[in-house]
Amino acid sequence: MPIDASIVGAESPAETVEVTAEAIRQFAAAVGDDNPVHHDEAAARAAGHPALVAPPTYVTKFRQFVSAFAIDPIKMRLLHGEEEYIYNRPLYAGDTLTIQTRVAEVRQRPGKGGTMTFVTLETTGTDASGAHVYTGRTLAILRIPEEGA
Amino acid sequence: MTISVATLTARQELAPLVKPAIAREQLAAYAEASGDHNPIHLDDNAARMAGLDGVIAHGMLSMGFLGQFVTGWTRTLEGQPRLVRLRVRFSAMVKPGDVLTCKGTIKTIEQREAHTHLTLDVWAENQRGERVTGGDAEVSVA
Repeated sequence: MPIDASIVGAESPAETVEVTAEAIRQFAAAVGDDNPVHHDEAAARAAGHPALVAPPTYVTKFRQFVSAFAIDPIKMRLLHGEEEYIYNRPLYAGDTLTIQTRVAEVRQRPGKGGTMTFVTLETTGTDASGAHVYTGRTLAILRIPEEGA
Repeated sequence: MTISVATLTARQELAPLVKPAIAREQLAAYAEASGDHNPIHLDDNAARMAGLDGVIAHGMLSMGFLGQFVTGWTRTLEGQPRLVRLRVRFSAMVKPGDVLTCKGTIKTIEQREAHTHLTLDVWAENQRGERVTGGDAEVSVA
């Protein structure tokens, strides 16, 4: 399937994910983020939170595969150009989210050695009460080789 | 010790956050924690097949550093600060051994009904002073 404007609107199946204290601690430790609200539940509560707080980029775990955007990252010289998160509230241990990723935008322009393709994937997370928790946007940049090149 | 948002001024610099040198062990731990197992971050041979000299750090790890930087700073504010937006552009590769320093400045301060809305410029630069990841953040303080 060509990676062009025809895939805009394609989406992943919705999926339910759990935010766990263990995964929060593991993620914060990997980043080296020693803020106690990510490690110690008592510290999180003392800071006014209901439970352990996920670090802001924890939601990177929830990027979904969109089958219309099945690419060979090496052949297409995939680059991660930009990432954006918009939060309605912090994510907490014990949250259950429904997440879904869709192709939000595809732009193309000619470049050296092939067309430059800019794909924006948008992921939304909704909590168990139906409230929107966050939106993530990923800009993927592809350099798709010319046909027969 | 907390700081009142009323004392903040536009163009004010935030205290930098110097991260320890990035080690391959950190990339392995980050791959595990984030679920991004792309071998260009873990295996030199795979990285070379992708046209690189060797493994590079996950771009999202440097965004993670910036998330730590901003939320670490907001902890020092009085009231109920909340990160409402974080956006970055990945402009240069980060390799094992690189030392990233997160920096930022306050761009705007706006009083909105019951809260103060701050916009920040934030970026991470390497030991050569090159900006590798940069963008902006918005913080709301109720």
